[in-house]
Amino acid sequence: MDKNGSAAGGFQAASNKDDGLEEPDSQKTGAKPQPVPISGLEGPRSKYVKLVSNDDHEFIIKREVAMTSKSLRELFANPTVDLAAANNTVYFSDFQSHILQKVCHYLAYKTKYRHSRVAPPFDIPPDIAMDLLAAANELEC
Amino acid sequence: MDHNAALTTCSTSAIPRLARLATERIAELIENDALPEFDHKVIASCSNDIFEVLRQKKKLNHQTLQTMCSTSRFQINKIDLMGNKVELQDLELCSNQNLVSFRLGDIDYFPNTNKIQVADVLDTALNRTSRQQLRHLDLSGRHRITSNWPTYVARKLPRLESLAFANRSTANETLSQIGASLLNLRFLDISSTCVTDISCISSLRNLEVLIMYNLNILKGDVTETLSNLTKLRVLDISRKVNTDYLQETSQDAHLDLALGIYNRSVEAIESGTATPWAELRAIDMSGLSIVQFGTDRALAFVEKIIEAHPKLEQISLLATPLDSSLIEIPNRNLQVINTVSRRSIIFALSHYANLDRPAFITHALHSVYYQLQSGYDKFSQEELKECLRLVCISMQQGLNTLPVQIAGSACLYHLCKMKRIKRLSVKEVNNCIERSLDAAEQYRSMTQLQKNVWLTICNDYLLHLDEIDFYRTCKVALDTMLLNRDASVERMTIAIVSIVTPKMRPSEAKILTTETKYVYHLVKIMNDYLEAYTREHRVGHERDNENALYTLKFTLSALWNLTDECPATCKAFLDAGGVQIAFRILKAFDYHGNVQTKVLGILNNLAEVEELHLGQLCKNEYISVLISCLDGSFNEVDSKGRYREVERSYFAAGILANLLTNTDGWESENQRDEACEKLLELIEQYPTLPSAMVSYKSFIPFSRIVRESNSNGAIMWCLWGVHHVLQHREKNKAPTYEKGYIEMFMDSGLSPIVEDMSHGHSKHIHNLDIRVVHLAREIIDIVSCHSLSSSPVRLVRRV
Repeated sequence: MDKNGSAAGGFQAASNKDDGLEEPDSQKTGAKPQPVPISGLEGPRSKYVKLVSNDDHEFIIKREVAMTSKSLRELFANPTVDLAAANNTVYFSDFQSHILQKVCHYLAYKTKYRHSRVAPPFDIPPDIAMDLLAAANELEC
Repeated sequence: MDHNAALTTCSTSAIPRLARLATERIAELIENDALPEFDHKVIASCSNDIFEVLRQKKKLNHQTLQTMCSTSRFQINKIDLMGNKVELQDLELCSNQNLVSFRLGDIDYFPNTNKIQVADVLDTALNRTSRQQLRHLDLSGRHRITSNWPTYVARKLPRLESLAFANRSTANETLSQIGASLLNLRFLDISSTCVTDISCISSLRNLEVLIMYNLNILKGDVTETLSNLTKLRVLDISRKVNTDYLQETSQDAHLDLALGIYNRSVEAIESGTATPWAELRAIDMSGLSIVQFGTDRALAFVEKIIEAHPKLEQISLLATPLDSSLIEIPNRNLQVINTVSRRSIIFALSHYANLDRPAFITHALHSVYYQLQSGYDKFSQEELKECLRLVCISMQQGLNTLPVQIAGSACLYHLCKMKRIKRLSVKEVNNCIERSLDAAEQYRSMTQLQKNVWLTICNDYLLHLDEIDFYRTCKVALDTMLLNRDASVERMTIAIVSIVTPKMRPSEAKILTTETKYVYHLVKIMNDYLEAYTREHRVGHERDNENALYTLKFTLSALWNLTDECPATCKAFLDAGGVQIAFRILKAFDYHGNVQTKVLGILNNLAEVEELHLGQLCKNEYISVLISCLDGSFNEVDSKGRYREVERSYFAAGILANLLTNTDGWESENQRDEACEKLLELIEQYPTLPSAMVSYKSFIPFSRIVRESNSNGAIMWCLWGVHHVLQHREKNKAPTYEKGYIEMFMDSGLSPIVEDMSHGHSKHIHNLDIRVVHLAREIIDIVSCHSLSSSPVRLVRRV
C-alpha cells in the first residue's frame, strides 16, 4: 500500500499503517494483540502528537512540546488532510528510533527549561552526535 | 517619543538550539580526537559551523584540520583561520576541500624574508577547484605580507568578488595592481593599511561595498574617484578618533572625503539630480571630527547627505559631534548609529561588536557603562541581557585591546552589581566570569583593569553558584596575586582564593596546591600584613588597620584551605618560615579569636602531615601558646551565633593531638602528659553546638590517629570531631563526598575501632579513658539510629 501525501523535510504525514489486513486472523495460531487506541491524538488541536521512527518506534508527545521544532510547528499549524486522517502522526523515514528519542528528549528539555535561569547540561553521547546534528537541522530545532 | 523604550526585538530562549549543541559537541569530540565513525558526509553549512566553533576556541591545529578537511566526512566550503596558530604544512590539508571563502589570518610562515608569502600560501591551501570558484578572500592581519599577490590573484582566482586585507602594511602599489586587474570585485576592505591614494580603484565599477576605516588618504581626487563607483551600497569612511596634532595633515585630507560627499550632495539637491551614489544604503562616518562646523552646522551637513541619498538606510555617527544628537528625518526609515539613547547605544554596540573597530567598541562600551551606572532600574530584562551579551562579545573579540577590556570589565561590574545579578541566568553570569578572567590573564599588571575584574568576581551571590569554573577562577586569582601588589587587588584576590579553594574538585585543587610559589607568596603576605598591622595599629589609622586585618584574615583563610590534606603545600608553608610567623600572629592577636582560629587551622593541617616531622612545635614556647589557646569560655556566643572560643580551642587541640601522635620531640614526659590531660579536660567541656563549625573532605586524619595514637587526649579530639559532623550531617554536607558523613565514617575504617572503644576496648592503648569511651558510645548511637536531625549549617571556613 502506498503512503499518501508528503510534508516538509524528509518526513511524511501519512495514514495509519495498514498492517495485517492481508492475513485473516483465523489463519494465525497466535494472533497479534491489537494496539490499544490512545486518546488525545485526534483533531487539529489534539493534546498529543505521534512521531514514528523508520524502525517503527512510536513517540507520543505533547503538542506544545513538538512545537519547539520549527518544522513540526509549521506542519501542525497548517495540517494537511492526510495529517488529520493519520491522527496527527508524522513518519520520519530518515530517523532511527534512538535518534528520534533523543530529539524528543531535547524538545521536552527545552520546553521545561525555556524560562529557567538554571538549566542542567543536555548530554549528547558521542556515538549519536553526527546523526543528531542532521536531525536537528531537518527539524529546525 | 521615549528614546529609551525597550527594544522591540523578540526575546529568545536561553536554551541553545539542538543543532548548536550538537555542533559544539562534535567540535569537542574532534578536539579530543574522539569522533566516532559515521557513514555519511556532513553538509556544508553544518561542516562550516563545526569548523567555526573550533576556530573560535583556537583549536585549529594539524590534528583537527586533518579531521575537518577529510573529504569522506565533511564538506567545508568556508575556511577561516584567523586567531589560530596554523603552519604551512597544515594549510595543505585545506586543499582537500573545495572552497568559496578563505580567510588566512596570521600564520607562522616567513621563509627567507619577514613576510608571509601570499602566493605560496594560496597555492598550498587552495586546490584547483577552490581557485576556480573562490569568491571571498580575506588576507587581513597584522603581519607583513608580500606586495605582488594581486597579480597571482588575478591570474588564479577568476571568480573572486570579495577581497580584504585590512591592517596589513599594504601600500599604493598593491592597490594599483588590484585596480588594474580585479575588475569584478564587489567588496573591498582596505582599512588601516598604508594606502594613501585610492585613485586606481576608480576602475572597480562593480564595487558595492568599500571599507576604508582609518585610512590616511593624502593624494588624489577622492571624490572624483568615488564618483565612478556608481554601484556602491555601503561606504565606510570612519576613522579612529585621533587627537595627535602631528597628523593634522592627514586629518585634513580625510575630511575632504566627507566634505566631498557633502558637496556632491548639495549639488544634487540644488540641481534636482542624483549623486553618483544613487544606490547607497549605508555610510559609516564614525570618528570623523567635523567639529569645525559646530554641532548645528554638523547636523545640517549630515542632513544634506541624507537628503541627497533617498535609499540611505543607515548612517553611523559614533564619536562625532553628533554622537549625542537626536537626528530625525521625516518620512525616512533611517537608522542612525550614535549614543543619543539607551536603545541606540545598544544598537551601536551590536553593530561594532563583531567588527575590528576597537575605538568605536570602546566608545560604545563607555556609553553602556554610563547607562548602567546612572540607570540602575531603567533597564528592561531584554535590554539587560542584550547588554551583557554584547559586552561579552566585544571583550572576546577585542581581547588584545586594553581600552576595550577596561571599559568592558567596568560594564560587567555594573551588570553584576547588587540585585542586578539575580536577573541574569547562571550561564550569563558564567559568561561574565569567563570574560573577566580572560581580561585578567591578558593584562595582569594593569591595576585598573584588575580592580574591575575582581570587584566583579568578589560577589557573594556569584561565588556561591555551583556552576562556576572554580579552578580557573582560583588559578587566575593566585597568578594575579603574584604579579600585582596593589593593596585592593591583593585583598580581593586573596579573598576569592580563600572562598573558592574548597569548592574545587580534589583533582583540580591538587594541581594548584602543588605549586609552591603560591604558598610562598601567601606566607610573605602574612608576614607583611602582620608587620603592617602591628606598626600601623594606632589612633587615627583605623581604616588602614581594618584593611590590613581584612587582608590578613583572608590570607589565613586561603592558606588554611590550600594546606588542607596537601603535604606538598604544608611543606612549602614550613619551608617559607610560616610556622614562626604563625606563632607570632597567635601572640600578636591574642584578642582576635577569629584570626587565631585560622592560624590554628593551618597549623593543624601541618601537624597532620607525618613526613614533616614537626618536632620543633614541641618546644615549650609553642606548646604553652597552644595550651593557652585551648582554654576559653566555651558557652559564649558571638553576635552571629558562633561559638568562637570552641572553634579556636578545637583547632589548637587538633595540633596537639597530631603532635601527641606523630612526634617524639617533646621536651619531657611531663610536658606531654600535661598536654594530653589538658585535651581531655577541655574537650569534655565543649557544649553541643547548634550547627556545624567545620566540614571535612575525609576522615583520614582522624582514622590515622585513632588507629595509632596511644594518647587518650588525641583520640578524644578525633572522636569529638567525628561526633560533631555526624551530629549535624543532615544540613552540613560533606564537601566532595556526596554519600555523606555516615558513609564516610563507615568507609574510613573507623567503625570497628570506635565500636571496640565504646565497649572500653582498644588494641593499642591500655588505659582507655572513660571520657573517650563515653564519646565513642555516642558516635555508635548516632550511626545506629541514623536519624538525628541538626540545626542550620554554619561553616567555620566561611569568612
